[in-house]
Amino acid sequence: MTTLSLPRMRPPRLLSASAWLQALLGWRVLHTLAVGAGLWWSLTSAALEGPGRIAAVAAASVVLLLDLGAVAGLAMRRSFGRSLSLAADYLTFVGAILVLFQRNDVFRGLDALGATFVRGVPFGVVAILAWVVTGWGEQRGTLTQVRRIARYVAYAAVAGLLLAVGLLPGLATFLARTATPEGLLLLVVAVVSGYLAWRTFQSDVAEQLEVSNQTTRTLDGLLFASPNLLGFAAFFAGPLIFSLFVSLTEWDAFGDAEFIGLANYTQILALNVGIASAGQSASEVLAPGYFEWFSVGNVVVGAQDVLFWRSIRNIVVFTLFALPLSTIPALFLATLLNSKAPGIKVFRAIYFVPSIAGVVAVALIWRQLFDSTIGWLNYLISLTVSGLNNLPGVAITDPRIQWLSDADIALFSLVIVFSWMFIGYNAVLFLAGLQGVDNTLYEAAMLDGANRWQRFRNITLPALRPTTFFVVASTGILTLQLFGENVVLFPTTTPIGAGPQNSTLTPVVYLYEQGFRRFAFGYASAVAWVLFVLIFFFTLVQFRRQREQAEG
Amino acid sequence: MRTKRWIALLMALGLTLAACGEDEATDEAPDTDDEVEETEEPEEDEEVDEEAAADPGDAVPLRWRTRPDNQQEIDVYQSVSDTIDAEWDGATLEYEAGGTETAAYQDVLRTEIAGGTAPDVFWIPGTDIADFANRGLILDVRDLAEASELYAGDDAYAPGPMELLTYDPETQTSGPSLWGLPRDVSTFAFYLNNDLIAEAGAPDPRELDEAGDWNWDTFREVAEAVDGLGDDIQGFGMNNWWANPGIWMNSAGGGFFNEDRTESRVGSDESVLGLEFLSGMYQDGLGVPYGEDSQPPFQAGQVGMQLTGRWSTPAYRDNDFDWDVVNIPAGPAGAINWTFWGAYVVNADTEHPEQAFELLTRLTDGDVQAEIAELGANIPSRVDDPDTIDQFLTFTPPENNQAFIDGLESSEPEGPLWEGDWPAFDGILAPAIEGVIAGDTSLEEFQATIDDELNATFD
Repeated sequence: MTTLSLPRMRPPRLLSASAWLQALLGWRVLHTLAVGAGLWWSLTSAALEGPGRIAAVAAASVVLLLDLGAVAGLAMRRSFGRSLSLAADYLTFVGAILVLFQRNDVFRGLDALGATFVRGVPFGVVAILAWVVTGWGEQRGTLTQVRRIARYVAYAAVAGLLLAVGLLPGLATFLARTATPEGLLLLVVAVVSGYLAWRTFQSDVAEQLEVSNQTTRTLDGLLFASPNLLGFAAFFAGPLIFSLFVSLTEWDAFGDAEFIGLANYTQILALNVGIASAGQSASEVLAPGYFEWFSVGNVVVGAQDVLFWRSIRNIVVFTLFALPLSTIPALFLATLLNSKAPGIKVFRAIYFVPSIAGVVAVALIWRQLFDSTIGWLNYLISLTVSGLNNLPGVAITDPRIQWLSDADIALFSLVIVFSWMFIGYNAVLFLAGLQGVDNTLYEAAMLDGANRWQRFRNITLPALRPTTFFVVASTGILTLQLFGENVVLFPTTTPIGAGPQNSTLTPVVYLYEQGFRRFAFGYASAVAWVLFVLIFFFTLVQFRRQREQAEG
Repeated sequence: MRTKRWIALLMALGLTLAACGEDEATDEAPDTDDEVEETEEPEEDEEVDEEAAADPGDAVPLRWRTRPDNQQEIDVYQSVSDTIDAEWDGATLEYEAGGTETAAYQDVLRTEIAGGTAPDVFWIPGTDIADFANRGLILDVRDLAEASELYAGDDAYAPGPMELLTYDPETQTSGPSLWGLPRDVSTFAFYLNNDLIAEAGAPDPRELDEAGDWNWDTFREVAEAVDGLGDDIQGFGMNNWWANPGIWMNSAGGGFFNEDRTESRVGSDESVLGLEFLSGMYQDGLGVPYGEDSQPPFQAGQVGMQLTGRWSTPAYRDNDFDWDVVNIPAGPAGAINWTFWGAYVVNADTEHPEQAFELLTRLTDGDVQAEIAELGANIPSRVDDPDTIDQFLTFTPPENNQAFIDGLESSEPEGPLWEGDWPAFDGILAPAIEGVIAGDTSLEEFQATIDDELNATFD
């Protein structure tokens, strides 16, 4: 069968491998000087500020280090020189392309592409159907002519899709925007760097430096994983390291950050204890700059940032209630759902629904249920109280609970919502664990005379240890990161989500307030890192317990 | 296999390049202007198109945004944008409906400003003006105003907001700067459930106001009467927001700040007197619990009087009970309301400051304000044309629109804290007031510490 196949296009190999390595060394020296100049410009230019300057300095520093290592390696004719040179050219190639795209507003245009993409959908559908026909024919080994036609239809449909979504005007605009000195320079840098990386990657150059098979495989693997690695670096590791840097600064997200060392952490964590004698107020016994956090008897505990410690207290109390309430009932629910009763799958689905519903939708519904004047919860309680009061000798006062406005209750309203959302999800996890337990263990236990509770205590619970670890650790992390439920249930409090008298203020709500409402991004980042350490230790304790139980 | 890889690569590249094509129409590149001239042939009966085609090179793209509360407002603002766009050949407008207050309108805006993607012109509440201006996020448009033929002058707008909008932080005086133009103004009133009040046999607050007897005592009397109708009926309601307790402090002769707004006055005897009255009402169980949204129970017909602004009117026009409004009751110092306002401001990073300022003047034009006011949401901020207010009074229901005008005439403008940190101030004050109203903090404790805590938020 003849098929349409595009030609195998390869760029020409300029120079022999040994001559290429010499030329590459010269290029690397030039590249090092250019990147060094770029780093200097990034550090001193008034055109850059804030995150733009930091990103430019970080990128230039990384490439400069690679360049310096590559120059040394190539001068000594060592294989790592080639590896580092490859990395530097590859990153320069990717960087030049991304900057060119950014300069040409390609990324902003991707939003607009979402609107025009609908025009290409019919072509896309045709392409997919035609491709399916091709594959179906290949499997059957028949209808060669039909397959060929379907293949051409698929190609035509892909071309139609690109034209329908605006390839030609897009291409024209891109070229027009590139046709400036800056745009052309970026294009040249991209093409040259791309070619340099490709040529250096060729086997004859590797052989010249006696590169081992292990190194070749590693480079192949890294190249294969590079899109994901670059994405990880740009959208996860980069912001993470950036936030660590920001936490050491005073920065409002608009200008340059002022480095202040650990001052943010000091302010967040600083505590002071004083003993109050009769008639002394808290402010009189605490060091200047400290405000009362709580008192026990005549002992006054103060903090520089009382709100942060209040948020820690709230989240600890919340976790102490929400964690058991969303895991223990889930375990018992899972044992009920682990039966073979008719229609049990429907019940499993029903209990799972809250966990797939959006947090905003769930919290909005609960906000209406919790309304103390017209909410359903208080209405049902009133009906119940009224019914009970009809009984002789019973006189109960309708509590009219202020679920959302009483500072003593608001946090527990959050516990209810959170537990309701996660019981079903955790039950499904326990159910999966239960279904992995060997039934012969239960049969043997029954032969030994073990009752239902003994079987549960001595077989089910130990067998579920790995599941329990996962459920407790993951739910615990979620409780410590509580945010969305607060913001929707308490949208009008100040700070938003903090609840009456800050009774539902959590660390994430607090850092959101600091970062996005108070412009204190340095301080907010420091709060985030303190929270990270808290979550890290919580998870570490869980791991240790799990390991001890497994070894014991 | 190789063919599939090529096709996948071409698809990715093709779609990426296609992304460049969509905003070509609004691109300023000279090459696209030629296309406009070639493709947009004006028809004889389309005057607007003729103007646009006459000099299309002058039209610059402008994005603007405001914070609507509902779909009706979005529709009105879109209509306003379309009208201005059609009449003005200097710019091509794109209106963006921002999220509501609880959808974090300002948070999104700040993030966009930091990312360099914020609109050219946007609306922000009066309390945020100082923060945005001090950080250099909005333009001081005084020079542009002086060069503009369309600008009606500072005196054409409500004086309270303009005094704060023209403040120069360097000289600490009002007048030299101009940070934006007020979109509209609003004020508080008590929305009345006349059916409940009549059922309770309480005097009509509108008649009491007419007779000069609408004060804290009669307010409490009406609230008690309505509250006595049943456990599920509340005498009054108001939301948890700085402005609500603020009017009781204002009307008691107190307030948030000293005269030059450089220190807290919350701990003054007068302010505490206002809080004392308010917390007494709550602790006697006469109100919708403070901290809960009082709008749903009011709309459900279970609240006698609800304190809220003119912006609630569109939603209340669907009420299925007899309702109206009355000015706030007078305290020891009178009925001292708030003037709520927000302003259209110019993004400091806009590429077209002149056109952006002209858009400000067009958006605050008397006719535009009347169109928006007709919806019932707010009151025009233009004071140079008395017809504007007369026209506003005809936008019923509520019948007693005069209550809002009366409120405006005796009010404190909500204001930016030029010499302090308003979010920090609010963050300390709000939970402290919640503690007093809930009875968890005594008035004495509150008064002893609050000013020290709040004064720490001033420069």
